[in-house]
Amino acid sequence: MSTPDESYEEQDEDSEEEEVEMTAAEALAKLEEAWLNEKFAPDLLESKSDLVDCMLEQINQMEENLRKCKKGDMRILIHRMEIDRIRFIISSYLRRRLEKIEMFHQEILHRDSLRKEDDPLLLSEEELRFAKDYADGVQSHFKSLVLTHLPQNFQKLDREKTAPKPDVDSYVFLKANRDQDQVLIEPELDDDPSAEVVDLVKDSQYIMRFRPLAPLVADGTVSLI
Amino acid sequence: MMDPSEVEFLAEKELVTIIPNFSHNKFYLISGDIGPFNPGLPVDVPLWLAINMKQRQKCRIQPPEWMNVEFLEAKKQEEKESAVFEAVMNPHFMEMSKLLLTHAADDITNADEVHALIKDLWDIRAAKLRQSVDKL
Repeated sequence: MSTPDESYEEQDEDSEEEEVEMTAAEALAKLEEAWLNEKFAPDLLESKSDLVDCMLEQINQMEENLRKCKKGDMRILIHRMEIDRIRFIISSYLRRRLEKIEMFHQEILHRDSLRKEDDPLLLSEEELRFAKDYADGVQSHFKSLVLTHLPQNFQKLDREKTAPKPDVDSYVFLKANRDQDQVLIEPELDDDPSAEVVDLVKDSQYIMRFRPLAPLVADGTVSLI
Repeated sequence: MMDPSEVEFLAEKELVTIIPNFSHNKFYLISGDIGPFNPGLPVDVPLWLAINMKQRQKCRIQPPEWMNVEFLEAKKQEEKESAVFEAVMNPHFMEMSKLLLTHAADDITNADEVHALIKDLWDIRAAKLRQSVDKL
């Protein structure tokens, strides 16, 4: 149709060189997996804000390049469609995380405060700010609405007793990305002594409780479906 | 938990073969390079792009090799005789068929029959699923 726009191609190669450890396509695949895992996991997973930032940067660069293209070029339409698809994944991913943060803000903030320096990030900076603001809002709302009208000794809210917690014992569907032997499934009830050991076979699908799987989801051994 | 539209979104990532009627250099998409396009030469593209091009009458879509009456008849028979789930041709065969049959029915031979067979296959599997849940 039109002669290839040189600046367009050069730029694209540049962006690939910048990402030494990961190509854009790999980052996108990782983000998609993170999105699905986050979607199906009952609990908030580790923050993947580096992937989100990386993809947003890619999108911005692409939009920059598109501005240089001639009008009516077929590429514009196609790249736009792809950008829209990626944007959808990113916003769906972030929305799902915010939902969970709203739901379990006390629990999540508590866990974040226990996090050690070199543990993986649970919340991105923005998410942490959001969680704190939200927690403050809810707190002051409770206070002004009910707590101040109660006798002195009822005015405290006990986090352990009142805060909703994610149900990590709910069942999830999962697919094994590689063989993993000897996954220990603890008994569901404390008085049930029979712990079970399961071998996961690559590409097989299972339905199990989320709790024993959480570390496997984090290191990518299994994907939730 | 998951919207049907989101499942469709995932299925749209599957590659299909199209026969373009235009020529164009490679597209450098973020998810990988596709093309180059030459009139009459088959090329693999993601489903979302294939459908978009089809709508703008830029290509014909070559149905996936499993999307024909003969293969599906055999598959249906196999599924019927087996007590467990048989491996399917593609994890997203249902969504793919729906999308292709809606947008590119004229590229699929015996589209109506294919449609019926896919639905049968789906029903058999759904029945098995119900049965195994009942047993649980």
